[in-house]
Amino acid sequence: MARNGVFSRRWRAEEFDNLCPSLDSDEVHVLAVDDSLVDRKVIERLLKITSCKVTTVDSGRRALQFLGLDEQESFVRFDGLKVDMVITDYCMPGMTGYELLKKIKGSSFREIPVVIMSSENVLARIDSCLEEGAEDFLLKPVKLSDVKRLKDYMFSEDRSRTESKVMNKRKLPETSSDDPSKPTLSPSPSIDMSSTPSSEPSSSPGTFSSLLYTDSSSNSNVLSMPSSPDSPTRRLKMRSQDL
Amino acid sequence: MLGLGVERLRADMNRLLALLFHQGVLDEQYLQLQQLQDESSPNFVSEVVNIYFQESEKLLRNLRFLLMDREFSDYKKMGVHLNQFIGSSSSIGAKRVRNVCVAFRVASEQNNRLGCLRALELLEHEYCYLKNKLHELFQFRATDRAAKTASSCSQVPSSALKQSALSAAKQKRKEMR
Repeated sequence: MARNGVFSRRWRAEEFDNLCPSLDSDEVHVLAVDDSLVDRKVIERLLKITSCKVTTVDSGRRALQFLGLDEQESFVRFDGLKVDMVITDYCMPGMTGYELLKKIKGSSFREIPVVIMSSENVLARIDSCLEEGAEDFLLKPVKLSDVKRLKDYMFSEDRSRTESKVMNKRKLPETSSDDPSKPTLSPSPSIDMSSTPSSEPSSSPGTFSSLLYTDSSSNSNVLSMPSSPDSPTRRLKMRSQDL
Repeated sequence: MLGLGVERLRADMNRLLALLFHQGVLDEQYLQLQQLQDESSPNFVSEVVNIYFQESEKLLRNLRFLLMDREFSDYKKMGVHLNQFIGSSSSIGAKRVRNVCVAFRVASEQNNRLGCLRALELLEHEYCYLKNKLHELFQFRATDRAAKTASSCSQVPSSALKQSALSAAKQKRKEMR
């Protein structure tokens, strides 16, 4: 597990929402960054419902302060607070999510997975984020299934990163009834959900990478996946038509 | 009697919700928000929506203010506000509002003042409609909850077994009507 901690950092408590001083070491602690209060509330709830501890901040700068990476706030100190993942909006005033990503990846906390959220489905943007080391790229509005999948993928017991890190863009067909008790996606002919080895080069069962495109040729072609009426792919298609 | 009232209330509420979906006012993201509501966070939807209302009204004021300047309209700033509006609208499932914002943004990118004015008017109209309907929905929920609380209170028998059996029988008769 990626357990890069924020050690010995003190910070001005009133600057951050959702303090979590008593962190259960088994719980995943996520730092969510978004300038929109509506979105912060939603992502916070999404993460809490998937049993994560959440800290929300409204800017990249605050995020860096929280992590202790802000040069100006070098006296920051908070014992025992570890950030297991950062999830950030792309479009933010001041520091964008992309810039935040670069800063984190260029720091001593580069091992912390960073997920980017964006309302714009721009391939170039997605690619550049991945190139900078983003773990994943979620299209807004973020859904419970996205967060569940993210958590399962990144923090499952026998998770192992595969060489071919295929990016997940919520393209997989889902059943229209989003059943919270079923964190995994509905089976479809092209996706191997079983624990037997799939055609994907993933070593352990139950890892999410085996759920990603089994058709590796469609990596960069967002819209080629088969879509059911309520699938994310269809949503993406429709959205691009909207605009 | 109380049982019937609650059912009718729920039917009306569902009908309104279905209508809003049918009209494209709301989309599945709204349902997603409802899914996030439970006993630990029983007012989640209305909390988020109220934040959305506050933010939206600020944005609408800003947009109107920016357009009122006849000499020079800061289209870039308008675009920033619209991006925020688009984002928050899509996060709560306010589909029609979002779509109008998108069209508005196009007009602002073209420095098209007339187009922007038209879009703003339409946006204000759509926003008002959305707000009214969501308030109606929340009103349904509030009444529904009050009714639920009231009915559960009347079902609690006060003392002896005899009395509880009697009231249980009465309740059964009520439900059978």
